[in-house]
Amino acid sequence: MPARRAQRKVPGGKLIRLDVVCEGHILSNIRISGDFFVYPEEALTIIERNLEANGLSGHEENLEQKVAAIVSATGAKLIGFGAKDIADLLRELQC
Amino acid sequence: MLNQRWRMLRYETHPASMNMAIDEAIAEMISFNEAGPTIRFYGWDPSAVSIGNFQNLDDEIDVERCRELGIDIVRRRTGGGAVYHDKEGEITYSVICPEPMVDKDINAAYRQICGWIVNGLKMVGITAEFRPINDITVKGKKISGSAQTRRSGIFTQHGTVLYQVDPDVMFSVLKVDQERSRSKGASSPADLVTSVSKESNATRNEVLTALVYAFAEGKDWYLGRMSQDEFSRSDAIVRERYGNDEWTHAR
Repeated sequence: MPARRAQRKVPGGKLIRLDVVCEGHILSNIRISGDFFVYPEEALTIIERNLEANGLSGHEENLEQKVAAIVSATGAKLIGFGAKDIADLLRELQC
Repeated sequence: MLNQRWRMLRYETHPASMNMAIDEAIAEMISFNEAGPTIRFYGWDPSAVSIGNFQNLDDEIDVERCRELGIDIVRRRTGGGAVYHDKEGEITYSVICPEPMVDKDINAAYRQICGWIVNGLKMVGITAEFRPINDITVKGKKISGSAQTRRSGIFTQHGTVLYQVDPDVMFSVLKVDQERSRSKGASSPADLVTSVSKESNATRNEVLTALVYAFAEGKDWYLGRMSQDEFSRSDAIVRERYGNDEWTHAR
């Protein structure tokens, strides 16, 4: 299954890279990397798992709100990027 | 804000995994009330590259080149970017204390502690400024970067001050996006950084002394040592995490 990558340098923020495997339109093996900060640090793995568990595709309606809800549920604070950047990159991957 | 007496540790050099483990061991001991708030300045022997908690190792570092040059690699527990820690060319610091001793707001805490570095650089004649989120620049070029974490009620911020840069080594081990440099108007990544030795005639020891004064300013502090428990716990943390390939290659 094809692995895909998208990345952006957030203006005034940090670099974020998204690596995913596209299973049809469904995103799996989501890995978020970059020089940003997440507090607490362990939350990033939970965000990745919950993005996968929700069976999101890049074609979802309200993708930004769904990603924001997943981030918010962890209580994590993101510095240098935001839920919108994750959603935009997921969409850009065009699974 | 909580007011406690700070312990200032003497400058020491350690391998990369030990340096990161010491920060974590001290934070643990403070959380157990076995140690007080601590400031340490330290070096790296051998030279090392540290990468941020969330970075992909192969995206950021030429691992093979590091091996050829005998350069250590360590993944930090803090976020942020990859840093080359030259054995001779930089000074690293850590500030570890109960969270109520620093600003609650993450960005404000960066500004607060980076302000101490700006003051230290001013003492050696360098006009530097804090550039959010976590950098310090001189005439637009980066001279210092920092990263912080907060765990179990303990705040840790560590960072570097570049004393002398060897761009050939630095940019042969760090994979820096050439396009990103050009987008910032630089012809090469080396044009985006500067160092104390380019901006001042101060010796490395003078810079270290200035930083110690600047960090200590306005604080009740004493010159202290790490306890045997802190060293023992650091050794254990090296085995558990920083000296462990599974941790280093986690992303």
